[in-house]
Amino acid sequence: MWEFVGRRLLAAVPVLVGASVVLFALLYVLPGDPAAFALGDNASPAAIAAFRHQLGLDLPWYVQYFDWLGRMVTGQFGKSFFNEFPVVTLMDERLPVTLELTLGALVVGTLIGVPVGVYSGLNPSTMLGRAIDLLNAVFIAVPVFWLGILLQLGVALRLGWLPPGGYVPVGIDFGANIRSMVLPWLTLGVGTAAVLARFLQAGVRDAVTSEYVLAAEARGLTRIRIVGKHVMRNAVVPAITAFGIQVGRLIGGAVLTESVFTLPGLGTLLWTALVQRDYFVIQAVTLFAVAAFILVNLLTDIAYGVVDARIREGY
Amino acid sequence: MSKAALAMLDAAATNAKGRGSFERLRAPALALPGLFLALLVLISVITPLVLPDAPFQQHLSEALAGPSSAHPLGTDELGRDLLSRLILGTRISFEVGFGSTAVALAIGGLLGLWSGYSENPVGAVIMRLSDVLLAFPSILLAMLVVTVMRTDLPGVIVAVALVNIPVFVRLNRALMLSQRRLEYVEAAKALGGSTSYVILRAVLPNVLAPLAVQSALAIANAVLLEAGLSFLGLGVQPPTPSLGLELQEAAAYLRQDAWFGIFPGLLLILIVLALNKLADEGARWYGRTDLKVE
Amino acid sequence: MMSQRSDFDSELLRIEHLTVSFATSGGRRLVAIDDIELTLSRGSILGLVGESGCGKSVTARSILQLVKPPGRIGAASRIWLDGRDLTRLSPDELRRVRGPIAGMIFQEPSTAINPMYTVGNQISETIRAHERVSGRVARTRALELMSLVRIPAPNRRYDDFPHQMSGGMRQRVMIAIAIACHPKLLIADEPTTALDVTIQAQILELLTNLRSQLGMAILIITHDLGIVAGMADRVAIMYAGRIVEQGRTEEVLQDPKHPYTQGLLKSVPVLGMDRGARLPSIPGTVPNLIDLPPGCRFAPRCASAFEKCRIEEPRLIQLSDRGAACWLCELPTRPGTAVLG
Repeated sequence: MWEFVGRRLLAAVPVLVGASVVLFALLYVLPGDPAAFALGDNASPAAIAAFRHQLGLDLPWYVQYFDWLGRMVTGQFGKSFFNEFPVVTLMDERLPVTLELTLGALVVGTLIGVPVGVYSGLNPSTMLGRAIDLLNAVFIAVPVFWLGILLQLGVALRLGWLPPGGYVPVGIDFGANIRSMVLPWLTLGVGTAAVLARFLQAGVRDAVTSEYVLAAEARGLTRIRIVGKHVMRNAVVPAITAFGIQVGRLIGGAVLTESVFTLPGLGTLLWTALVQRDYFVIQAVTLFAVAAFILVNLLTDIAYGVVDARIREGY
Repeated sequence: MSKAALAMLDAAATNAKGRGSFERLRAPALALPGLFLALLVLISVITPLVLPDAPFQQHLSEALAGPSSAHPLGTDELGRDLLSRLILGTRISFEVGFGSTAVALAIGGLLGLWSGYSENPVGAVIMRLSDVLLAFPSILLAMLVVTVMRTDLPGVIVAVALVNIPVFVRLNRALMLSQRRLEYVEAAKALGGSTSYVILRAVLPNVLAPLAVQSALAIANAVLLEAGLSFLGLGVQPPTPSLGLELQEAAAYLRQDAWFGIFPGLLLILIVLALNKLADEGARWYGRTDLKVE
Repeated sequence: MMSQRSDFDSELLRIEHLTVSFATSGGRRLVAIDDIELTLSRGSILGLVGESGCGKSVTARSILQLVKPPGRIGAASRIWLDGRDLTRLSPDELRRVRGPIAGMIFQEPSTAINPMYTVGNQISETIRAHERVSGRVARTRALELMSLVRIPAPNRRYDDFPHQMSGGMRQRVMIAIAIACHPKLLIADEPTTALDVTIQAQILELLTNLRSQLGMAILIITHDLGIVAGMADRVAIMYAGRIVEQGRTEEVLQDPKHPYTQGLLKSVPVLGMDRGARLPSIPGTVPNLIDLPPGCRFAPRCASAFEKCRIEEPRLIQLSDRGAACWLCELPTRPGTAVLG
């Protein structure tokens, strides 16, 4: 088991390094001179050149890369060009918001998606089963931001049940915090639920029509045991895959959702930084997001191995 | 993407049995989404040619009006006709969708097929690079690339293509690896076929089905990605309408006029749904050709 | 061992009027098995032989009521197992029959055992599903069963996953699972088709031994006449959803009464045959079950078919201990000898 985990960890490292290279390359070709941006329009060419030297921007690219890597790994993210705050501080402030959003959406998605997926897998021909199929297809196609706006419009503005945006930290007012997160959670979570339900449904259907389930029935196991033990263990496998695919969507969706509901999270931070060409913020947040993504994928891979013995050996 | 997810997608692709017989295609299931998309493409291409100015003409006195005979869907905040903007926006979505997918398919396809065929170290490098690109969440990568290039149509197409290329590389490599062992490839090689001959003339026609399915999904993905980018202001710039941009503008005027935002979103959903259905039907078709053997 | 008439005491399984039909996308129902009868005595081995598509697997599954929609067992069907009619049992009662009274093994051991759990786990769970025993006791019993089916080093193998075992070993596991509760009947659906020839022989020998050791009856479904010749006491031949001949194995194989059986036997290559000689085969193909010809189903391919064969479908005609569904058995008609069954 641990050998499997070790192998997976080892495989993730080159990907992380490679991603950092790609990221650096992209940032390197970013048009516009960070130094010029930082110093403003009235700076003299000499001052700009001096600042460039200070930032190390006149060194050859490979030196810059290792320099940059070193700084990233040790957490020296620099300062934002626009408000002089250390990037680390900015990220620190906003990380809890994004975490609350994504984790909450994940929970919502799982709570909805799992029962729906299992039910429709076990009862495909019922009216409800067919309806679920259709709803799944629709919700997979729904753009996250559109759903957000719709919910904002309907629930918040027209009905006034929940706030249309803004964020209240947990520490200040727990109730207000939850109220401000419900709509964002739903917005992000519904898409997750649909994807999860779809894959679980396929997994359950596959398992239910399999020979080993027939064999289990043939030896007199109870229905509960057959579904709970034999069907579920096999159905979970594609669901884990769905989960892995979904995480990428979640991260991207977080950016959009934060924008719609004006939540002060990492997504909006990155977005403003991109528009403003706030170099240091861009690279820190993106690297963080990529590292988080790789980490989650690593965990999903390991989960795969925990559930299915064949994967443990094969790889 | 996790290794396991990729492996599963690879396996699903290589389960393809190649060409299926056409009788098994369910005409009604394909017809509805197919016709819908074809119609939409037609309308979105022809209308702007016939009425090129409609999306841009401002009638400020009629701003935020509801549906009327002159403006069937009403007007936006600058008095511009919504219907024509929607149609042009759809065309933009299709341009990005088809354009980026064509590029991704061509580049990713050839790279993938080639790396699966020849035991070249370059092939391994290509695979590693694809894996690395897949380690980026799509929107993030697209956002970055668009910022690096320029935020307008070609930039968006390149960004979205870049997001989809690794997917096609992996898929084609998996397909090539599974086809390589089959006899017809041996035969083609024995006939003295060069690498490009074997790849293009022998293998490619046999893997068109899974490629078509993946392309449909890629187009759907691209359309959503473009809308997302435009929504964030990182896609096409005003005054060019894009479905995502429409939504962003609508968001600002939510309290006054609800109409506005519904249609671009609905259109997006319908387009993506249609593409997904086509992909589903295609996958069902080529995946089941072995059922003929009873 | 065999009595002339079926003794109610020694009769373990009696299938009467079994009909299984399937709903097709065209709307018409396809009748896969049409009104068949089978009996099996305690401790005996019956071979059900037929080519692919003749309905033998469906027959096997319908015994334990495992036919799923779009398949349906006909209302007139009766399946008497150990004195109880399985078609009239509640789901819970059925569940208690499956395992303790009858067990079943399948053709493909790699798909019939759950890949996610160890083999030992699945044997033990079967025991615990029917008896109130602790995990420890179940494990001990499972190990005994594994020895019974000749799995070497059961202690180590208990914690193995199916994919870590060879095909033959997996089949033994499947047998162990099926006989875990000492059933009186084992239904074996093509148990050796997916295995190598040498392993086949081992498994068949194992089954025969189990019959002797446990007094268990076996219904073996196969397309291979060689298998039934080697182990079955009685044999029933199926064609296009009907039983066309049945009787004691030696009698049927040495003196087949139905032209189909005759054709099957002729097409088996024999040692010492002339090398250049063509292997005889039965001309034509199996009929489409949706569009059956009137009269005998085999008539279109039968060299001996005559008028009556194409008009009226023959029922199983009993001659002492045997039966054949063929009008030829009526000829020459002598009053009192032929009894329509």
